[in-house]
Amino acid sequence: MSGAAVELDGVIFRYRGEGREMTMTFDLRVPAGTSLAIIGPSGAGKSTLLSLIAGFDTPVSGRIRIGGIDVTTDEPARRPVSMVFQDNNLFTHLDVSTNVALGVSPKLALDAGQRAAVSSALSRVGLAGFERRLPGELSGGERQRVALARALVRDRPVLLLDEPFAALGPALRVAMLALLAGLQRETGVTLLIVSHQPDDARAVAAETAFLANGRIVAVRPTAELLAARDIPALKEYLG
Amino acid sequence: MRAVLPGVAAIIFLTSVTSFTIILTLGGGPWATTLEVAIYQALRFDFDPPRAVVLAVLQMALCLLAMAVLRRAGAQMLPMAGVGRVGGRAGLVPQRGLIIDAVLIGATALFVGLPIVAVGISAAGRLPALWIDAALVMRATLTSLAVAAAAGALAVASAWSLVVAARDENRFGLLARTLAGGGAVLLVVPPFVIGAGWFLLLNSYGLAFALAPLALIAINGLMALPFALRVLIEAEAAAAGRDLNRLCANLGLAGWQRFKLVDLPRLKPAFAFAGALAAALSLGDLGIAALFGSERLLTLPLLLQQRMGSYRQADAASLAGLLAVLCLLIFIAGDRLAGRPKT
Repeated sequence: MSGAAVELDGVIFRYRGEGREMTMTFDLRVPAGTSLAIIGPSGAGKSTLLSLIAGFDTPVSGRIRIGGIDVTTDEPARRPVSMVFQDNNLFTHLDVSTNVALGVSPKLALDAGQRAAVSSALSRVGLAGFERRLPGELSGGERQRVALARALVRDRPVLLLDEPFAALGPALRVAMLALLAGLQRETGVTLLIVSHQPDDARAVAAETAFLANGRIVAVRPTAELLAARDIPALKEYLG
Repeated sequence: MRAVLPGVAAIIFLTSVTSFTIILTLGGGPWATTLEVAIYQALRFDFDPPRAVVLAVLQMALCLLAMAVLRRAGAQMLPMAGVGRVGGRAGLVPQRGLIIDAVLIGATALFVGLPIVAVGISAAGRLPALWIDAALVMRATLTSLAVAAAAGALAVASAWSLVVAARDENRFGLLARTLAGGGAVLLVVPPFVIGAGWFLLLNSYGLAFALAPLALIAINGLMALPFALRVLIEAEAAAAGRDLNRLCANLGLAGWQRFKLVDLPRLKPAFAFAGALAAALSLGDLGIAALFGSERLLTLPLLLQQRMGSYRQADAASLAGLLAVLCLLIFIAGDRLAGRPKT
């Protein structure tokens, strides 16, 4: 698997929800195989940006391209994208290996090679032998590892993560970030991660985007952005 | 509380206004009748279709009026309304409230329980009454069960398709939410009026009795739809949410595959309960059965009403006992079908 570039070209989205309305505008280019962290205050549009790329939301105007191909009107399942949410990534009544296998085929029609790939993805994330367990028997960190294993077997060029480790303790978060950074290096996937923690950005992302009020205020190399003094909203956000 | 009360009042009012069974079994005369019984008489006894149509329009107008008045009072008629609002802090109920609650619940239990006991006592003593027409009773039982099973399946299937349409946030949106809220439409246009309409339509082609079983199943299913819809919507809302829909969308889990792998295992108890509820409602239906019923299509409630009408109380009592047992069996079967919930 290698990454694909993600481009948002004049994308306009009208957000409605939680008792407010907001027009969001996104212009963004993430080169293939790189990783971008997305930070910003609540309600800035971070999750919406991922939803637009994944196809859960549809823009009013503008184009979204992945690997140079226009996917603006494609169904979520047809886009070359894997998604990891903050929680509820797994079907609680299905065992771990079935949850991972769904990443290969929604019909669960796996050949021997694909079944072997499921097991090796599980050992890659440190869950060898967990195949028959149910998600309810796992810790929060282990459940997110299963979600990462599923993203591995899905083998899509773009990986989107929406605050994936927000519910985990500090030590566990560090371990998960190391795992994620390792996976990104090995696979060369294009990675976009939404987070509230500047540490997350430092650990996995070469570049970081700062969002506020439904627009991308700045995209810079992570260390440079986190040290920037010329963006008032960012100074206020980082404190 | 204030938000929920008008809705509850509206449902109760509309259910009473569309009441048919009670009036018919109690044999209400000219002074105690409802529009629905009048429609029934116009169709089946006097065969006066124009009068039936006028009465049906009157019935709908009355329901619409009631709904408009109550909506003005702030009633939420959508089955979604009130979901998840009940609850709150237990243990803070004042002592006096508890006593009033206990008295009210006790009185209701007596009101519902005493007739069951009465039926039980008279049925127990006269069980042989069932054997006098064993063949007829058996045939009516099988007819009732077949109609109930089919109507239950129909109600659950239609309710589920509404839920599926409603949860697709992008594609259907407003249309689907209106449809899912449309359970309430069935209270404004009572199934009985729909049944009367079908009776008139089919009768004009001479098919009212040939297609009676299908009409009975379809309208009974429709009648149970709002209840099945409510059960499924609540279960779906409690178990799913946006994350699950997005996860399925991302993985390409849709249609039958999603139903089989995700929804059915998750919502099995709700499906079983909705099905049992719909089947039990259909089993006890007298209104639609009275319209389309005949000697060839005889359901248990119809047989019961005939026995009451000819003052064969003992027979009626044992038939009522049989109906109660069948209802209980339906719910037990539903429970078995649901299996033990896995955690």
